[in-house]
Amino acid sequence: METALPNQPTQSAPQITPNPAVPSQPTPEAAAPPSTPKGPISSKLLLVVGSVFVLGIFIFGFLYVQSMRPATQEPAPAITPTEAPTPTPPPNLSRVATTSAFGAFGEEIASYAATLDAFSLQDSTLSPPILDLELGLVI
Amino acid sequence: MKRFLLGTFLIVLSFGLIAWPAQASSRQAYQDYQYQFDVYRQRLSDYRVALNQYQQFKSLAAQQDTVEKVKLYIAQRDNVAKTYFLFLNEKLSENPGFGASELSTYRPIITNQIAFLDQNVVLAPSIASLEDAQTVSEKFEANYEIMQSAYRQLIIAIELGYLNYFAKRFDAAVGHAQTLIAASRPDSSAQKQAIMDRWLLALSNKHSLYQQKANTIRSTIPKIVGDVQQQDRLFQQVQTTINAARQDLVEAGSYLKELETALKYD
Repeated sequence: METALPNQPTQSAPQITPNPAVPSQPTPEAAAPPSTPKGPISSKLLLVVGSVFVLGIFIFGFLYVQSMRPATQEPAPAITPTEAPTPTPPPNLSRVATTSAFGAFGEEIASYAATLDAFSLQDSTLSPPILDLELGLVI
Repeated sequence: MKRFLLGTFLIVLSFGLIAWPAQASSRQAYQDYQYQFDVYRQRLSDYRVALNQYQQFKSLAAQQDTVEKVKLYIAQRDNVAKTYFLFLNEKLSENPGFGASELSTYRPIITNQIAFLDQNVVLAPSIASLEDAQTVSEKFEANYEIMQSAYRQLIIAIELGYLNYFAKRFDAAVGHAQTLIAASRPDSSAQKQAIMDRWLLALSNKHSLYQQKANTIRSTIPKIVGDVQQQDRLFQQVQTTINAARQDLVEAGSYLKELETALKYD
């Protein structure tokens, strides 16, 4: 059995009346999913990544082209002949140089130097024989 | 012109004929030594095979075969050593830097060693057992250090002989230079004379340096005795000194060239 309290106004429960069906129109806010609310940031990120990518391609291309180019040679310095301030006088042959003894002396020195240069003191044919000493007998 | 060419040809030919026998005899001796060494290797190989057979089977036939092979081997070992000394003897004989007195210093080394080897080789045919072979071989082994010492002493002596030869040529060239300097002195300025004198002094100093090294080498030769390792050490030391002495002579040659240029012009 149900009894009503005295200080409590009685109120009837509101009744929900069904609204007439209104065709819902899609709004831009409603179209975006609620979980991705950062649309402008994403596009900025894409822009940065793209520009870095393009810049990288440019740098790579530049380096590639640089590496393929032949090395530039430095221009050879131009040789400018210097003028001798005083020309060297031709040497005069001494009186001794015209003698046959001097010619023989020159030949003697040339022969001495050539023979000594060509001569090897360490003659390989002189290496002594290496002979076996032990007979290897166990007597 | 034809006569001149013919004369030159005959002079060159006569020099060649004079020089030929000396070179040919040492070459022949070297070929003989090489041949004997080849035979030695073969005899050694045969002996080792026979010894191996004997040690495996211990048969009387194998023992007899080993005795025969060891006789041949021991005799050939003496022969190789002897032919090597004969080759060194030829090298000494044809060396242009030796006088009779120096030859008489080094020849006895060869004579003594050949005498020993001749004595040893006649023992080989009398070997009748492996014990005999051991006894004969021990005599060779006992002489081995002395023989090695003889080899090394003679090799150094031959190299010193060649150095002496070049030193003699150098002395002759310096003598001719002094004659030319004396002839040019009346026409030369004081400055040029001073240059010539300085070159002569430099040549004299270089000759002294060479002579000191040559004396060191000569005095070291008889010291190459004793233990083979000690001999080797001294031998290497002397080789270094020989190279330094040769370098002195080369530098002296360049001084002579400078002197020639100084003499050539006023």
